[in-house]
Amino acid sequence: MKEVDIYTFDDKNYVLLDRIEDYLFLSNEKNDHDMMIRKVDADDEETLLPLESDEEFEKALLLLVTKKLKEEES
Amino acid sequence: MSKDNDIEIPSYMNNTNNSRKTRRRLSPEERAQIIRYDFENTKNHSRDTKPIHAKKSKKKVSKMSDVKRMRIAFGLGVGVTLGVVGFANKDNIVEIPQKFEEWQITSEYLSDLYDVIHEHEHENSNGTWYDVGDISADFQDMLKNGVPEDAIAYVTANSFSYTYETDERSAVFSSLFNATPDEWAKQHGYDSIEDENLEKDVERNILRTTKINEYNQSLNSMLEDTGNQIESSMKGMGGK
Repeated sequence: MKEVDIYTFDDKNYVLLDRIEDYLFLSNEKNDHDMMIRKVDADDEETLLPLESDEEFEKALLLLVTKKLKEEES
Repeated sequence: MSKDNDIEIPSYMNNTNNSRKTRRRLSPEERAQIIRYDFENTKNHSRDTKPIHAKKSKKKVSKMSDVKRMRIAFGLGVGVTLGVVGFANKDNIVEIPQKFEEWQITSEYLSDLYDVIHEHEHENSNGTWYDVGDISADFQDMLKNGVPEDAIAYVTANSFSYTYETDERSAVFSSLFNATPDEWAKQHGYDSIEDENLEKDVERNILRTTKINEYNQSLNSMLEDTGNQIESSMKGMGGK
């Protein structure tokens, strides 16, 4: 078992998969295919802001891939 | 809110008869469809215009389910990189295709094992409990069918919480291997059941087993084709 951060909203628990810069990678505890990337509000850690553009979404995903590949190599 | 309704759900995900026992390996096209679906869904959820006010807490989850989720998210990112979902940005990440395929294969393989535990997970007023006898029996069948022992040991070791009162993982290890988790690990050359080399070896073994199975399938298919050709030739020559 592993202790993880959970963000609860809309009566659903989202597991924090990773945090890179201000980006949170979240996955529904009960549904692996319900995922989202959100930004943490600088003034409130529990306020999750939407991404502003498709480009920002791609950028965040690429940050995740690059980080995981580096972890695999090390 | 989300635009889920705009996205066609891949037929494989809609298939209600998609249980572990009847599951087959996905084709590259089906995998690409699922990645595309996950990608669009995730993008829509990420770009919903409302800020979300969430409550943050800590919770213990199965390490295996966490790994599975991360693999799906990683797959999305790789999908973007490879252009599976309509973008092409392959600069500087030349090793991704190989790595992506390996992640997909090991992820699907481990999901089947993880699902054994999930299928026998039950809730009651005291919380979650597991039918250890059924889990052990299913894993025993899998061992007989050639699933590598280290993969089952790895999944078992990472799927249960263990306290003084409940230690399902030791019960499964005892039933399958007649050893405690750490005894099993030491017998197989690891420092303990938490040894990181176990995970690496499991992934290597899964890839090797999958490649052998694929080779055998292609050999069988070749033999069957040759047999059919000989039979046709004999019929053409007037044989029965």
